[in-house]
Amino acid sequence: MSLAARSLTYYLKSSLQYFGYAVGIGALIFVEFLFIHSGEADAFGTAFRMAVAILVMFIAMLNPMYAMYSPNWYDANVLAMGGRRKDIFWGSIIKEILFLLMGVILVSVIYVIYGTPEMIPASVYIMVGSLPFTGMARIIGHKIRKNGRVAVVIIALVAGFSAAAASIFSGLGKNISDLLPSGGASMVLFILVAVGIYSVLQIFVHRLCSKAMVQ
Amino acid sequence: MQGNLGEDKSIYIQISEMIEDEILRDILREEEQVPSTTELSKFYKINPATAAKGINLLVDKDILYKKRGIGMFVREGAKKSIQETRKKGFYDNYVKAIISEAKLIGISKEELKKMIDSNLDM
Amino acid sequence: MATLSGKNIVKKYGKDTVLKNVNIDIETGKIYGLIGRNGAGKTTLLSILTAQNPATEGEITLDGQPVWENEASLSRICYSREISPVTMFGPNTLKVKDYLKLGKTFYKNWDQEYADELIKMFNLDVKKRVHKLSKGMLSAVTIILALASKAEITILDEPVAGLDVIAREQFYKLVIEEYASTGRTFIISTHIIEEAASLFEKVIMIDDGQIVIEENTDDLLARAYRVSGEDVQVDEAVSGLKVYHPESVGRNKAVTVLADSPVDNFSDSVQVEPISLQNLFYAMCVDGRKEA
Repeated sequence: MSLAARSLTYYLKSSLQYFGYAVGIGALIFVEFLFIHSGEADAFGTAFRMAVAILVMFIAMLNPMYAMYSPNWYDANVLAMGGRRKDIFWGSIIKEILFLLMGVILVSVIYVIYGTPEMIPASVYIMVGSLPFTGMARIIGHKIRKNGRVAVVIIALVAGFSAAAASIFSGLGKNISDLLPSGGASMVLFILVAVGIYSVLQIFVHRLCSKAMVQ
Repeated sequence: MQGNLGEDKSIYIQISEMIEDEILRDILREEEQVPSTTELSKFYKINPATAAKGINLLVDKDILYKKRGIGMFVREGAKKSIQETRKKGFYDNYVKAIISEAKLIGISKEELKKMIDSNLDM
Repeated sequence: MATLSGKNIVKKYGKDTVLKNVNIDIETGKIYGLIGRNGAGKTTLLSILTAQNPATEGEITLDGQPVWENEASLSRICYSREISPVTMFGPNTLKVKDYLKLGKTFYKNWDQEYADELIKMFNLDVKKRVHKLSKGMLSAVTIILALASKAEITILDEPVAGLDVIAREQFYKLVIEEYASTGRTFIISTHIIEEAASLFEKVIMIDDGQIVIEENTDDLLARAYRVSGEDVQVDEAVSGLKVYHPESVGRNKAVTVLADSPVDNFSDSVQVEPISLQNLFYAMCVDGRKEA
């Protein structure tokens, strides 16, 4: 097997592994809420809606989290095993996209089976909306690797300000969902924009990744 | 076999001398197979190339010979040939050292002779 | 025979120059020892030779082909690093079996049967997480990865540092066995020199970011001596020769000599002894640098 094929195996496996984690957590939440609401009229429905919502959140969060962590750990492991920087670059993209696709498909299928397809668009926005953050997170991961604690502090400050801005927004009575577009055409546009931003960020990721090192 | 190598000589020379010692002591007999370089290198924890160098030294001296596909063997007459060679070095390596130490600590010629004579009934 | 070679390698970390114009040629089919003090640049050199880290200047080739991002070269090399029990975000919670699985995925000649045998031999609990391992077990993991990779050029960075004396002897025997049966190239970095010296066909000595010796171990030791005796006579006997680390007590003086070729005409008035690799290394590297 060629090196590209071997590293693809690694990234496909790890994509499946993370997806397993997300689904596992969703299932746990479902069981837990089923217990908490047992005896209530619509215990199943409540637990189900909660579990899927959390599954969606997890799918949106895991990619950026692992992307931020990668330059400091996963990438180094691949390099240490004789992998190339381009294997890491393309492997990570494949892993992130595949993970997201599996999430979108799974959640859509669940909602269709449950008979609430109108829930799909909001979930897709949240999940696909994580793509630009995934690209950003990988860049931040590289910066943390290079600059250590300084980068962590700056990121914490930026994140804090954004959180403050968000709470001011909600204080003004605006709901996040109001900001999202509705309708089929705008959803396609949203996905295109998200993928576009992600792709543009990959130019910077590529530049950083091509100089990656183990220590 | 001794398991320890010293620092006073190159390792390959020590290996060849140890094999010679074994031949002199009849631990290795003529026409018998000598341990392989891998066995020697594992036993003494040395590089196989070094062990091979030690063995080749004995091949050059006609002490050992190679049987194709089997390994190294002790040549007939090896013991005698080692004894001959070592005799030549005996004076330089041992007698000279005894005399020089004897001089240093003031043992007289007669005393030295007496010591050696009394121990010669080996 | 192939050659892994580095030409004019310079490595800078910010203002620090860790490697200063290093030239090196590793011939395959030999066991190499890379010796140097902590911080001399051993790990940096190995990282650069295997393209795990970029060089600031210089080029690395295997058989004339670049190593950097090149599958043909990379797939012939395994550099099994020391595993860190901590990561930037906390303890390293990777399980040993997952680390070894990485090896299985990435090394095309990986030998799982051999890996299992070694796991048993070192009594390694593969279900443990890396940060929970003792130093000895961490070393065992790097050794198992290196040996089971079956890579043509196998590099180990301080493999015995955490091992007890029994495990160290086991390791040396494993390397000899593996080398004898496959002819794989081993490069082993260590600062425990005494017990490993006889294993190395060639020795590379690195000091302060520069290679000071790259030579057949026997040939090197054949031209190295410790010369001692009365100071005036020692000075006379070694005049014109390269002398390291002179030591005196009273009128007695001892020096380490590294001649250009073996010397057989030292004056009888001085005592001349052979010297071990460790003592030669000590004499060559002890002066000129501050105590670490």
